[in-house]
Amino acid sequence: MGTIALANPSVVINNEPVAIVPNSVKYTEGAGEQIMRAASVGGGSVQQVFSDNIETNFSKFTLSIYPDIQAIEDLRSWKKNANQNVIVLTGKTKDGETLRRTFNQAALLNDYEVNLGSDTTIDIEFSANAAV
Amino acid sequence: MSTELPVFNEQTKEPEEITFKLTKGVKYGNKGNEVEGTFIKLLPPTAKQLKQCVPLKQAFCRAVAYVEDKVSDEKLDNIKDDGVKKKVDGNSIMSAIYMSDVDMYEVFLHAKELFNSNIALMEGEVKMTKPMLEDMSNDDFENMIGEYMANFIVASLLTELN
Repeated sequence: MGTIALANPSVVINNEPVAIVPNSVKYTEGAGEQIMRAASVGGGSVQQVFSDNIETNFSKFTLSIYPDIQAIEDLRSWKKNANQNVIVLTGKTKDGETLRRTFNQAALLNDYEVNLGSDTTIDIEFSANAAV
Repeated sequence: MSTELPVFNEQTKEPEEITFKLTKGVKYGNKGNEVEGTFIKLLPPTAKQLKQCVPLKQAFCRAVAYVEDKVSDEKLDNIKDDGVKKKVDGNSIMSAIYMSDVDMYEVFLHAKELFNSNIALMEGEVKMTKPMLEDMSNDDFENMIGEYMANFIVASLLTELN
């Protein structure tokens, strides 16, 4: 029996729904990066040394939006909010399965590019606390 | 009771705001974090909310006319309690509208637009938005409509009825 992929999530930023370019949403859970190293115990044997690099324990949330005026103004306000944005991602598939992730203290770190054109989109990336 | 006593304007004696307590908390974003709200502050409507208020007031008037037409005088007298008529409140208003031929779905749609127009503040701070309204329980949403109508939209009509 097959399963249905979640391809149509809803994105709410600071309590307002955001119209997104379909299939443009991506995020990381904020679980960070880990390192695995080998320690020699002699005789050719190695022991695993596992470590957690908590410097990387932040989530990234990327999406694309169309360059309409409301979206551009919203984008400007998210940038002005510094790290006081809240993003809620929700999704439900046709078989009733749901997904919900919240990204607290989200911030637009880069100076995003506003592409104005008839078939252009604006790509934005938030950094936030690890998704809950 | 899910609503605190309204705050009245000292000069005009009209309610300035009411606090509606939620039975089920609603999650929302505030100052960078997702928190749970437990009450909503409701402000009186202005001419800006005319488009949403007029149909609600009309729905109530149609409901009253329907009830008076369909219910016998004897039954109307039975609402007296110890010789005093029961006060018409939010619950009574919603019950009356439900019992009439008014389209409740339209009432809810107008109410949703009304609460989305800067007169409802979660925890007295954050403007209610569509996602927040959609997260409310049905009971809370319905009771909030009733209390808002009782205190602001049909208040002048209720004075006459009471």
